[in-house]
Amino acid sequence: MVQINFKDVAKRYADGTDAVRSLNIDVRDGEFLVMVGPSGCGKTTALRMVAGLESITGGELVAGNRVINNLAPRDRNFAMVFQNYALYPHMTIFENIAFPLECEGVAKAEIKKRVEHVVGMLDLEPHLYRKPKSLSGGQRQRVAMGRAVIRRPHAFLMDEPLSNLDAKLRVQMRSEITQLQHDLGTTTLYVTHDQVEAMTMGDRIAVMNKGVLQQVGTPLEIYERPLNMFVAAFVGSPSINLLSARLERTGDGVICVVGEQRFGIGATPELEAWIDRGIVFGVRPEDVSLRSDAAGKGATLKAEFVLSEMVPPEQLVHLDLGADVVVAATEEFDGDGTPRNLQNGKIIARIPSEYAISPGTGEWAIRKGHFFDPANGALIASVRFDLN
Amino acid sequence: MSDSRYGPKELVREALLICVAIVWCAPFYFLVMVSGKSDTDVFRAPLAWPEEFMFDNFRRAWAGTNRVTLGEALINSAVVTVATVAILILVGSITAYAVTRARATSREWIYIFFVFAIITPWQLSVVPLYTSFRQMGLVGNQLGIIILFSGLLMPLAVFLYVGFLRAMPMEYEEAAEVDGAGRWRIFFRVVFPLLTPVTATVAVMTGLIVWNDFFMQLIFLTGSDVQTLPISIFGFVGEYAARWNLVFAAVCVALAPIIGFYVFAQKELIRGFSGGIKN
Ligand SMILES: Nc1ncnc2c1ncn2[C@@H]1O[C@H](COP(=O)(O)OP(=O)(O)OP(=O)(O)O)[C@@H](O)[C@H]1O
Ligand SMILES: [Mg+2]
Repeated sequence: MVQINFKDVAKRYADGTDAVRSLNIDVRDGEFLVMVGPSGCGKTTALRMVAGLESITGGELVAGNRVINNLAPRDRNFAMVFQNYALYPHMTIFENIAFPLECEGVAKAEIKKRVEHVVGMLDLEPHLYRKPKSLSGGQRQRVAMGRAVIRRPHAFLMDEPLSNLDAKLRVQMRSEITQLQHDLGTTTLYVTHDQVEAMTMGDRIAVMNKGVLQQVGTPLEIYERPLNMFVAAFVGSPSINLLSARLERTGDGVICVVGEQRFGIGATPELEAWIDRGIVFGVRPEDVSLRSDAAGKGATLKAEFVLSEMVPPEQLVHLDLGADVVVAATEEFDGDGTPRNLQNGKIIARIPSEYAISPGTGEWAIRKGHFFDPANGALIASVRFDLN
Repeated sequence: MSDSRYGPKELVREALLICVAIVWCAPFYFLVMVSGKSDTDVFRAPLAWPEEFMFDNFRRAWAGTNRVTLGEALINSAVVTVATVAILILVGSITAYAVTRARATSREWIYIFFVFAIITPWQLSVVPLYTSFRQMGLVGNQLGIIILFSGLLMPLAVFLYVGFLRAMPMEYEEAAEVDGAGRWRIFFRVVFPLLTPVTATVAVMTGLIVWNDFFMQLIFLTGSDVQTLPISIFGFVGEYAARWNLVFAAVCVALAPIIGFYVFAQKELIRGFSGGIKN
């Protein structure tokens, strides 16, 4: 067991693609760190650099206080679980799991003992002498896990190990893997593009985009205090509502103007500098609620009911603010913070499914919001309105 | 259950296929027929069924030519073929592995070198090869002919292996690398077993070439005591008289192991030619 430090690690492929740029992450000893991000953001590349399967073109990779940039994969003592498992098709399950021990030159009797132990742990006994192709997806996944844990490696590296499983099995394996990792206490670097997987499994999460690390933190930190618009939009489903807004000072204090509508935001020192400038206001669907819920407190917006999608015990209510104010997370802004391209006024609220909503325009309360710098997407402040 | 309808269309198709099969078998019919004719019958009525089937022809053919019995020639052919194929498989697969997986750019040149060797006709190199083989004492013995065939067929073997390896995912090798395997273990425990389909192709293709070759064996083995089947058979064709009935009887003998092998390994062979990697 070991800690893994990325120090300005970079990867530029031969064709000039910058897959990973100046990555700095410290994976702590025994930690389960999940790397998450959209397709093509460089997760696999980063993981393969740790495994030694891809050369490192910049920075240093340190494992257990030792620079391992040029260490051969076989000398790193990491175990990897590949996306489609890469089980050796010509070997039986027993041979597959035993292979890492065979490479170490462990004695036959000892191999048998350890394989039997692992196989018992993973419920694979009945399949020991079958070939991988005759196993189901979930069983293959377990064999891949078995091959990884048998050696007691310094760290586990897993590249979307659950993405080939059906939804139900994925949920089950999710907890099995977390449980196994906790029991063994082995440092784990886990890659996924699925934010739910990241949230549920990781001790900490590293969010990547276009080869650049966006934020590292516990699931709660990432959710509660996303450091930029990308992270805010990536985490949470349905995605955060991002609105183009303006701050103004009135006699009652600072107010936020969204389209024609305005509400007070109380005293927030970080926002002082943004008065009379364009800003992005983000509010998560679960922070929008029926007015009566938050009686008399905080900010409200008038919005017209469009439709409701029932997902008991919740419903997703689509609302229209009546003005084009919604911006995309990838929006481009002019120098003064006005967006180039406003989409529409449609936002989503997430409320308990038993509430009936009357058609027409109603008042909706906003519990909490995040303000972002339109120029670089960075978080300026998170504000709780119901405390004001 | 008879849900497969057997209509006139199927009848025609079946009749056609039977005709093709008969045409296909015609050479075998003549082979067996001529091999049973008496010495005079062969020339009197070459196409008619022999008046009396002369099993004695097989005994006479078995005695062989040039003091080498057909049995010995059979063994010689088998030794040369098996040894050559073994070398081709071992050296060919390792070479192809290096050519496809090496990082050095020289690998492309090595590959082009092999491709050129395939399209260059063997016959061009016979004279210089014969001269140098003679100097090295490699003419008239099995070692020489094995080295010769291995060299001549290596480009083909490498070509086949490279084609297969290029299409084979790197994942298994990468998994083995992370699992702690060294180069040789990766090759012999992971890569080579995955090459089985193409190994079968290489074995059958080159094996048949070596087994059936006449030209090279005639030049490099004639008159030696390790002469192979084609040379032994050719021995029945004299300067003044060709004993065709004995030639055909000997061909029957030469064919037997091939047919036996085919019947025995039919399923595996077809799978080898048609299958890729399945996991
Ligand atoms: N061998 C390669 N040569 C050149 N570019 C590559 C190579 N492998 C990956 N890339 C590029 O590097 C970037 C990152 O790829 P990577 O596979 O790491 O993404 P990822 O985050 O794992 O995506 P996914 O979720 O789809 O697996 C992509 O733009 C990809 O096109
Ligand atoms: Mg990937």
